[in-house]
Amino acid sequence: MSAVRTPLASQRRNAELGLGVVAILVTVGGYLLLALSSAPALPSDFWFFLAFISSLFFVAHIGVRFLAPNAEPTLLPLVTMLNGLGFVMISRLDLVLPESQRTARTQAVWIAVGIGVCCLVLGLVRNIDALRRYRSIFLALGVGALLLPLLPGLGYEANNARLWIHLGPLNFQPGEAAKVLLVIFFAAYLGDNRELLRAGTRRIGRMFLPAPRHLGPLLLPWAAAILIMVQQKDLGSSLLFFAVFVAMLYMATERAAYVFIGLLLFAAAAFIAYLAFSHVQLRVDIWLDPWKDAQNRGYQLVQSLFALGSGGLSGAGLGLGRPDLIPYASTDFVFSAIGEELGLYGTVSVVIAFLLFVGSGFRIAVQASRPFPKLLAAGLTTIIGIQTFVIVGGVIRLIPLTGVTLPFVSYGGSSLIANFAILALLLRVSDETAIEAHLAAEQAARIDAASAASGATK
Amino acid sequence: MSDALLTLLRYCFLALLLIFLSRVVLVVVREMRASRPLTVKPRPGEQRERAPRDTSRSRTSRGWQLVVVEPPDSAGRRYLLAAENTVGRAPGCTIPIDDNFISSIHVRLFIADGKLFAEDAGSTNGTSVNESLITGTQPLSRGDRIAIGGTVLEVQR
Repeated sequence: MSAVRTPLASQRRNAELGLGVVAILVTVGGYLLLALSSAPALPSDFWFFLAFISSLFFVAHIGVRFLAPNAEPTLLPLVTMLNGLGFVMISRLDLVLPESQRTARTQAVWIAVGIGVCCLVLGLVRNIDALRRYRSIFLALGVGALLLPLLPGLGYEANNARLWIHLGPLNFQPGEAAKVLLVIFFAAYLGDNRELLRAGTRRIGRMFLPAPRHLGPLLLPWAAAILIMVQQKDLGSSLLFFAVFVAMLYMATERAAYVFIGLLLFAAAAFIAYLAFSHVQLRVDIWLDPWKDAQNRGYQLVQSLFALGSGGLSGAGLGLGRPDLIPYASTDFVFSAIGEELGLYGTVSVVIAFLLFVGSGFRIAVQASRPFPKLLAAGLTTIIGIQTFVIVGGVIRLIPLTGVTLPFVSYGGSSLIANFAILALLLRVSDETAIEAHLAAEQAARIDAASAASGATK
Repeated sequence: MSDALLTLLRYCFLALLLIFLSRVVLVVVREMRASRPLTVKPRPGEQRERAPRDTSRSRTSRGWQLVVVEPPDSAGRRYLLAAENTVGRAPGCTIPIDDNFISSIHVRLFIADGKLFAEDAGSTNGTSVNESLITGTQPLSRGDRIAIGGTVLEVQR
């Protein structure tokens, strides 16, 4: 099956190639700086991994050229840049670690798998509406994925949260995949029923709410998902999921009331969680005053703040700081590690890259003509945006810290794969929109020509 | 490697980040310019497109017709009425309309002695003609507006 190419295709793909080359230059530049400032300590396979990581963009680019030639051109280069920067940071943290704890090699493999998943999703999902028809399956898979870590024997607890499963030699966090699967379900359900949810038939006070029959299929899986995540003590994911859900409900119905209800529910839930769970209290206490117990419970956050502070405006320089002092520097705190070595300029660049990604995602959503692709693109973009806010806000002490990964940058296979699947779905929606717009324009031109001809004969 | 050179290279790297981001912004700006005429919207041109085809059809038939007024997505769509018609959400209706507020078989429209009548087929949300809910059989004349669910249809001849 060959993909439809519109006149826009070559322009967009060439723009993507041009940007991608600059994104690779960023990765290579970071790697070179690292090599220059720490020459004697370089591992022997350092250069091999640089070549490997750089070539992955071209694999993805060729995949997009064949599978979604009309897709939006900035998403893939932005991902390449964030991914490359994250990889440089992970390699840099490896330099001070013993051989057995190094993670750059695994991360390189996961990025390659992620690019593979991206191409696979583009190849399998040739028509975005196909996903809409299987919405119940996505719901079942999503809730199932959330429940997997609770199974005895398969799941296990790490860092006080039961999020992981063993699959032979691989450890996987199925919650990452669940986010994407459940957003597909919500987009399909909201797209089909948004009129019902918008109008509302039951009167409560001055408000009209939809009948429980229509709201139920939406609220039940959502409440189940939140409960499961709270049960697993995964605060970051519950927060993320709640916010994405409210955002999608608002985007589908255009009713601000849902946002207010959502915020009220969130405030209530947060307060109850604060009273009921000691680990929530701990997070809030650390957030309010990390210095009270700086050597123990506040250690992570204090180290993160020290890193950002010592980075200053332009950073200590790659390979010249001590980001290894921050716990979890390659996963949750990768933003602080970047802040220490590349400074405010580096962190602001990361934030701008995410802003541009989210902007492109919402542009894709706005341009899509049908409700399902529109809500899907908006929902997936919201995942990336809110997740970035939750973790960046957490490590700079804007909000209480909850552990989620910084999308595309942090070390971690499950998160990378889920995010690459999001990238692929966004590319597919934008490709379809471009084809539809092109066909509509062609048809309009044909009809104009035909009516002009018939007018001439009259 | 001298410290001065390394510092210079460090700033070059930060500049490279900025160059990348500004190039992305340039592409975004170009995208937004290019996409403006590409977005699919119901433009006046689309209604113009249908007009010639449909008037030619009505000229030959001279029968009763329904034209969609609301929602804007399908406004201008025209249905020719036979002697017996059903309007509803079920695909088997002679005039199927995809609207969540329309019952499977919502309203029956039939022609007797050359006059058009509407009869609600037991729908959940009822049928209005010219904004008043109908009960029993309601005769229709040209220009009447039938509202079912969120859809408004105009009677034409």
